[in-house]
Amino acid sequence: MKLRRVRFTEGARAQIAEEKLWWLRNRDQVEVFGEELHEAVALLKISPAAGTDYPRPAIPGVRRVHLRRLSSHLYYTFDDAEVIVRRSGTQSERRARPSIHVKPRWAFRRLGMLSTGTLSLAHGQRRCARQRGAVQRPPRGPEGLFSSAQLNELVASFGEYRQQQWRGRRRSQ
Amino acid sequence: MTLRARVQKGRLVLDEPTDLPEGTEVDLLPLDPGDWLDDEDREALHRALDASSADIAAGRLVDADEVLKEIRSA
Repeated sequence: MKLRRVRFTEGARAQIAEEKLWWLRNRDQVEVFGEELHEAVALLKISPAAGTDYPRPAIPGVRRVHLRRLSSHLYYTFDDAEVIVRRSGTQSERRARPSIHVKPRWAFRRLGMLSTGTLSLAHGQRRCARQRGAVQRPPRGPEGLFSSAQLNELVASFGEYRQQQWRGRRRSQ
Repeated sequence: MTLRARVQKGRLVLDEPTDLPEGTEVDLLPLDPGDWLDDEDREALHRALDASSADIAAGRLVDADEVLKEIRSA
């Protein structure tokens, strides 16, 4: 089996260094960034044709490989001897991804929830709601975030739980 | 690249010629789901891709092992 040499352009290298800093600042699973790139490079060494075509008139043969857990791609070209990674789409794709959004902060405050960019409930409320089975935290998406549908469901179930609590307090007074 | 597989006893069985050694494990990649770039971000991506040719022409290339080492170092 032939292994190709893989190299990054200086521009791609600088971009990835920048993205790594973003990842360290914004994600709990810091190892994911390196793991995904490591796996992608291993794939490119063995089978660069596995990527999908990304036609660019000025650069024949551009392909990209999907970085699933980063919701991104590596863009590259290759020949018989080597693979050259020209660009990572991580930052712009993360910014553009429509399935992730966070409710306006006031909505979380109204429900007694705190938003830290992903989603987190106040610890005591979250534990109490979970113990009563009122809120089932869904599995997170590839970026460690909830999808908008999951978020809406979580907000709705937590809001219902808070209303039940409020009604219970009213009855006991 | 497309690989053809059949379902046999509830499992996917590939039936493709290969020169890999017997017993080699292979990873199957899910299809590329596409991207969600808007026009502005796609334009920026294309500019960066086009600019990468200048790096290659000038020999500004870094071995992948060095890039991965930098990522692991922090």
